[in-house]
Amino acid sequence: MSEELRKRRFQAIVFHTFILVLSIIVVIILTLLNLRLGEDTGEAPNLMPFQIFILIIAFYSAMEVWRYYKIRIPEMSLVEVLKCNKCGYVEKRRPQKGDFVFKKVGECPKCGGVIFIESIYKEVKARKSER
Amino acid sequence: MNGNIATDFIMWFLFLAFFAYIMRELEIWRIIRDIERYISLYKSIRDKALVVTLNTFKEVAAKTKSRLDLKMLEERVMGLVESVLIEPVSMDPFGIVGKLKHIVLTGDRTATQEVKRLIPEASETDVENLKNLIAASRSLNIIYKSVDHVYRLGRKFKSIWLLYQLQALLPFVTEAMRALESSLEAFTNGFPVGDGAGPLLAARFIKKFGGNELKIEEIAEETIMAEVPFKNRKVLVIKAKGPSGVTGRLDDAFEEIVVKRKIPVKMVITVDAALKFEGEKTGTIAEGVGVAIGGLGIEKFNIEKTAAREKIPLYAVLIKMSEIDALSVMSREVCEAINVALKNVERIIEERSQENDIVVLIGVGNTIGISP
Repeated sequence: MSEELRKRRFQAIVFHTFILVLSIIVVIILTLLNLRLGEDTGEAPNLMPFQIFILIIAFYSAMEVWRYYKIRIPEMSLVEVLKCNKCGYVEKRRPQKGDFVFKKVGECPKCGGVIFIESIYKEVKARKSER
Repeated sequence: MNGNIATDFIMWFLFLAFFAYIMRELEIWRIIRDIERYISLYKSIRDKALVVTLNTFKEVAAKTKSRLDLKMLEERVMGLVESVLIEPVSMDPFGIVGKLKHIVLTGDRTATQEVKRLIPEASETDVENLKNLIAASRSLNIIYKSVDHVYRLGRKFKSIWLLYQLQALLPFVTEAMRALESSLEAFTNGFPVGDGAGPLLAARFIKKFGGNELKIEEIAEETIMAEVPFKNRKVLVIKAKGPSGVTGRLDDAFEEIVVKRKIPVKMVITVDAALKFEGEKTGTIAEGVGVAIGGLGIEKFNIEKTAAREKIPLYAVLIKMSEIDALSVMSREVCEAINVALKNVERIIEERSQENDIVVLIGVGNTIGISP
């Protein structure tokens, strides 16, 4: 589901950013229009309610962008731990399809003992800042 | 003057009524939008599960060089996904567990036959993994359809209370959907899941104390028993037979030991994965008294019945995890917690039994990706 969630998160951020930018542009246009009409006729029309309404939409969109941006969807990686029966040599790799715990996978490169899969698990990938 | 006040009053009243109506409509629209978003997510997950199941069937067929009629395969798989298990009537509950077990076993055997009919050359492990995939797809399909049903009814009758109830349940439903979806990866590749904590602990116990001359026998269908010496005691370790995705017939195995072979068992320890509370950490260990087996309760009932009759103490060790952790590939936290739980099991055996006693250790759960 993490892929689907990531896709939906991206779509939501794009959509709300678009609404935010559009709202800001409309507010700027309305302000300029107000000033221009005021200069031409000497009496500017009252566009304040529209501006406030659109600003509320912009604020809501900004909050949504921030909310979706803050959602962290962890990336997981699969790990397989191989262990030697004799000397305790340990190696980690990505599991292959059909691998299972306690499957014998070969000989130990150090002592020639039997290497078996000790565990298969998933863990959260460390983010760049945490590495 | 009086006429104006009356008109103002009527206008205000109409405005308030209109405002209340609009607010209610807006609220319904907002809830409907929210539910629709979830339903579209559930539908995409259900469709993904079907695609993964069909692709895995094709992969297994290619691996075994079996010929497949794709149209027929799709129809048969959809048939299996849409199939239902009808629970026995419970008006007279006497003997209901036996009836339920019979129905569940019939369902299991039918699923095995269906998969084998589609791919006769498939190995036992592949058949079980395909059955698990079908079961996950079936659950996803049922959840999606149930949520969609309530949503459509709520929308049809504009019932805000029905929609409120559905919306309130969505976080729990989403958790279940996410858990089932994450199980697809494990069942496709045959990797251990979090629910396999019990069988993995049993397997580690066998590996640690079993030695080279270990006796492992298939004591019941899809269930193995290993006789393991431990500190001058004999521990009979029972678990489902891996590495295929089965949970075994643990109650049958226990009955075979205690009733048929009349082995004087002094103590039973069950180890299982248990659901954690939201505030608890994954991998927390809890000890208790009783039989730690989830599911429909058939095996739990049978083991309790036999143990109570023979007056055998029942102890349990639980490894806590979320629903998602239980069904997806085993997490590192669970994997590490198993070692801690293993030490607890060793301590319980040492403290609560005497030398030369016979102890039964049952690793409960799906043994996918875990041998023996």
